[in-house]
Amino acid sequence: MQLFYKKSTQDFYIFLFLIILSVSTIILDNKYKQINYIRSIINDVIIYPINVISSTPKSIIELLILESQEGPDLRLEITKLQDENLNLKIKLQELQSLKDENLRLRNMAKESAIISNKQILVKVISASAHPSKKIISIDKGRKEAVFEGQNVLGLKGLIGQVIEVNYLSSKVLLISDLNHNVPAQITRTGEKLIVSGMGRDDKLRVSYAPLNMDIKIGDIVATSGIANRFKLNIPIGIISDVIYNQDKNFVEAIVVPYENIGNIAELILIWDYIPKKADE
Amino acid sequence: MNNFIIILLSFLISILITTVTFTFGAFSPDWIQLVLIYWLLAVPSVIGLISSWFIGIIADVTLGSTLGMHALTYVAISFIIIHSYKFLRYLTVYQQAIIILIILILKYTILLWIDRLLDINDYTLSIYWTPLMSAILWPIVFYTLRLIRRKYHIA
Repeated sequence: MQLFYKKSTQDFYIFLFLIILSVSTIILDNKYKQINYIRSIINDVIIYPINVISSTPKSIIELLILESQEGPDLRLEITKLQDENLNLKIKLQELQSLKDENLRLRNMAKESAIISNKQILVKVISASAHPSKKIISIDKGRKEAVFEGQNVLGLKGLIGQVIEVNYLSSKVLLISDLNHNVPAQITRTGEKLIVSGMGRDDKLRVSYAPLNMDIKIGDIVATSGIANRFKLNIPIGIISDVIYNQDKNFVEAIVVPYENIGNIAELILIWDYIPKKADE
Repeated sequence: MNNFIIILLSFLISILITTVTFTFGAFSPDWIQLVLIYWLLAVPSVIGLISSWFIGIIADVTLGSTLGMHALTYVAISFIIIHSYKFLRYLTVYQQAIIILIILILKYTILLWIDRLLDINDYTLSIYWTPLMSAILWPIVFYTLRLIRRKYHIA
């Protein structure tokens, strides 16, 4: 009886201590963001290997598909890629002259002209890294100088931003997340909008456009660079539907993103734009 | 030592299944919690409150929630189960599933409450599907882990 009593009280004190410890870690993490390195360590030591293991079957299958492709198919692919490469090279020349011109104009306007071409292709190691948010994991981290808030693009348009950086992996919040908003503009008129996620991969939403705004189906929406979160003029998508809602005094619109946001294997990280950190 | 490795492996596999079933959102059961409850019932001498806390912290990192949120609920649930395992052990699996449903509803209420208190808004009310799915899948987890426990003679 004595022994049982002693063990019980010991258990109770351990319980109390652990509860207080949990509450203090909650407060430290939520209020002061001071213990991110613990998260980082656990992520690198446990979660990253598990993610790699869980993504191996998929990559093995992809490898097998690639192996089983016939010779003629590959030759066809090569000619196609060569054509594309030629086209792109021609376009690149135009782009180079435009870039030089842009740089000259920037110099005239006395703006900062820091343009670095550093960009890397990253692989998605887990297409969803959170049960209720649109977050994915990528296979580059602090080792490759990834930073928080970095813009993440696909080959055709905007994908999201980096929200958590570990040593070997990082997490990217997609623009299709329910709580994510992108300051955007219609490229045809330059009018400003806010594009928010709907929690769906194939649709984004403009909830509050003024009634007198010039907005049509087929307009291209790109980032506006307002709030210094995303680089200027990254394409986002095309307006597919405009709803004139008389009761709300706002125009709603649906934007179909260029990228297949939910199902993408490779992303591009860019280094030539450093977003301003929001003051907390 | 052998026991320890098997139990650790089972937790790693539960984390793996958790990350794979993220795509189901709130409909994916709380695998890590189920595995922890099983080991608490089966071998209360090996897993205690402190290991529960560490597993909770790892669960926090896996799920991307505020550090300590899940650790808090894991410790609370472990405390309840450690002090009532003699009663829970002699229930049938389906009766245990009902007890687990009730405990997990309490757990997610606490999580939702912390979430709203800190204004994080990670969870919506649909999170209550998780306890239901966990309770439904408890027999599968129970029999699988019992098979493993008997095979490797963990006691």
